[in-house]
Amino acid sequence: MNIKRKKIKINESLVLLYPYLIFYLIFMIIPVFWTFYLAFQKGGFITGFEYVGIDNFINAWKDQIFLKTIRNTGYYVILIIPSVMVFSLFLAVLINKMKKFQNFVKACIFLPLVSSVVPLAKAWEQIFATGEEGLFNYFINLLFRIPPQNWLSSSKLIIPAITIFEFWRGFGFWTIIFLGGLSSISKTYYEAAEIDGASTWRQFLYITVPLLKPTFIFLTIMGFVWNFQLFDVIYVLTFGGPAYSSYTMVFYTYSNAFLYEKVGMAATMGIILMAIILILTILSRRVLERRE
Amino acid sequence: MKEENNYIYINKKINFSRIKNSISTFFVHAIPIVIAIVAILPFIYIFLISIQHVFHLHADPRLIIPREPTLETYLIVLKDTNLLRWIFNSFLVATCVTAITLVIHAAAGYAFYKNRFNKFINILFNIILIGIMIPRAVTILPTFLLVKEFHLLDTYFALILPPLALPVGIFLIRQAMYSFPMALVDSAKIDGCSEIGSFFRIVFPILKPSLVVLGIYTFMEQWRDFIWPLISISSESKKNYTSGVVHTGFNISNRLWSVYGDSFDFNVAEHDCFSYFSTIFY
Repeated sequence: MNIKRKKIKINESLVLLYPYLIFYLIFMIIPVFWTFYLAFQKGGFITGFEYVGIDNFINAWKDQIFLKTIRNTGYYVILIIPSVMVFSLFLAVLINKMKKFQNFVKACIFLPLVSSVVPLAKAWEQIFATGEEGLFNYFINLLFRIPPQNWLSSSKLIIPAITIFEFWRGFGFWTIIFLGGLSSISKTYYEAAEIDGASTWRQFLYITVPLLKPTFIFLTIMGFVWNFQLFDVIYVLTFGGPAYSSYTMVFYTYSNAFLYEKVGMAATMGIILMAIILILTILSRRVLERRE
Repeated sequence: MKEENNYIYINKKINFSRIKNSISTFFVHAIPIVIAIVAILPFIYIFLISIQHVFHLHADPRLIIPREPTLETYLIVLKDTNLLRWIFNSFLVATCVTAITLVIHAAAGYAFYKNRFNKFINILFNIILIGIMIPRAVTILPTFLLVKEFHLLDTYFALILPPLALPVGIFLIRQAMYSFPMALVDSAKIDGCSEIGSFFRIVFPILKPSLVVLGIYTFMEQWRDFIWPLISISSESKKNYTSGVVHTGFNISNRLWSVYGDSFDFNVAEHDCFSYFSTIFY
């Protein structure tokens, strides 16, 4: 009798689950399996599909441009994740100590994040303008005496330029997350450390950093997931140019599927991207959680 | 003599530490404020360019302080593009997605929390969590095919339905449920309230703080979403704000070219600054 009643109870609250599960099934589970199906097909939206086995994976491995997109994306991720992480942690610690203007600073750093990428990227196209007319060139010349660079038309500087843009756009979010993490650390630890005579730097190193570990893990994982999917800026700012030097994996996937009509190839690349992200998240989790 | 020396030394030390303290508080306040100002500098730059007269801009693009402030560009943008329509579309879609997300995600998050000791439900929850790590690039192709099969391409439904499956909300709500007073739900049940009724009458109102966070997040994501509207919408009148704006800069500068008989690089930015400010004020 008791068991029967319990069962009824569970089923009743499960009704609340169904609407979401339907959407998840249709727009998440089915697409993932469909992608795996598409990866073994050749053709496009117009021409129809044809089974080709694992040819797509072999071709992807031989495709020089695809390998270049992996290098580009990896280069970008290596540039952005450590820099944003260190910078926004530093900023969050400072903001946490501020007594006035805290909300002003928070609003300002959140502003780039709230606006959509498209107008921002268009604006930065002007800021990165070549010669001394560009605002960015003007400032780095003023501050560091670096001669004007062609940020958007040089194949060496394009990824750093995009990193600078994404850095500017993204550090606000990281800072806010770090602030959330900092506010959950009890003040008593710092008081105790102060009585023991620990310097600010020591307090930061031995109290703040270890206690922020969950935040670090979250941000590392989400950083991999987001930054490997770099697309919007590329589309607006460079459209992959100059000469494929800013092609990212998602941008190449997009152009394969919707410009070159190679849907099977695009699905294959999507799966490779997913594999890279999954491996990196699992690895980073292992590494970060082991440091007890 | 020695004592006096010592006294001076201590006095100096106190002074020194006080100066050091005030310097450090100065830097603690100054550095974030400088960073914040640098962060909004591009916005100010764009605004100043937008009210600049095109002739002066062409003469000297570095001329940042407007010599002849004008709103002409804004008028051209409003007259020549569907900008207001796109903003309305974005607003409509983002609002719909946010409203539906709040209800179904809160419901599912609550159900997941309530049945967290059920093994099967827990496995299901973990499957959904994996969904966070699946990149959009993987699901976007089949979603496109799926929406095409349903004959929903180029409709508002194409924009509204797929984002509802994103699993972030479920995770957020389930985490928030851990600090939820479940006794309230139990007492409602004793009073004869059904499971669904108690969700809408008790859980939903009390979860408000987390729902606000989820709502803002969802709205923002929808407002900024770019790749999916770009793919799924083709008619001008249904375009989202982001996918609409991306190709108009070119048209606008072409038009200004025909008006002024010269090419203006900066028109793109001028046009965008308008879109910009609408973004900020949404």
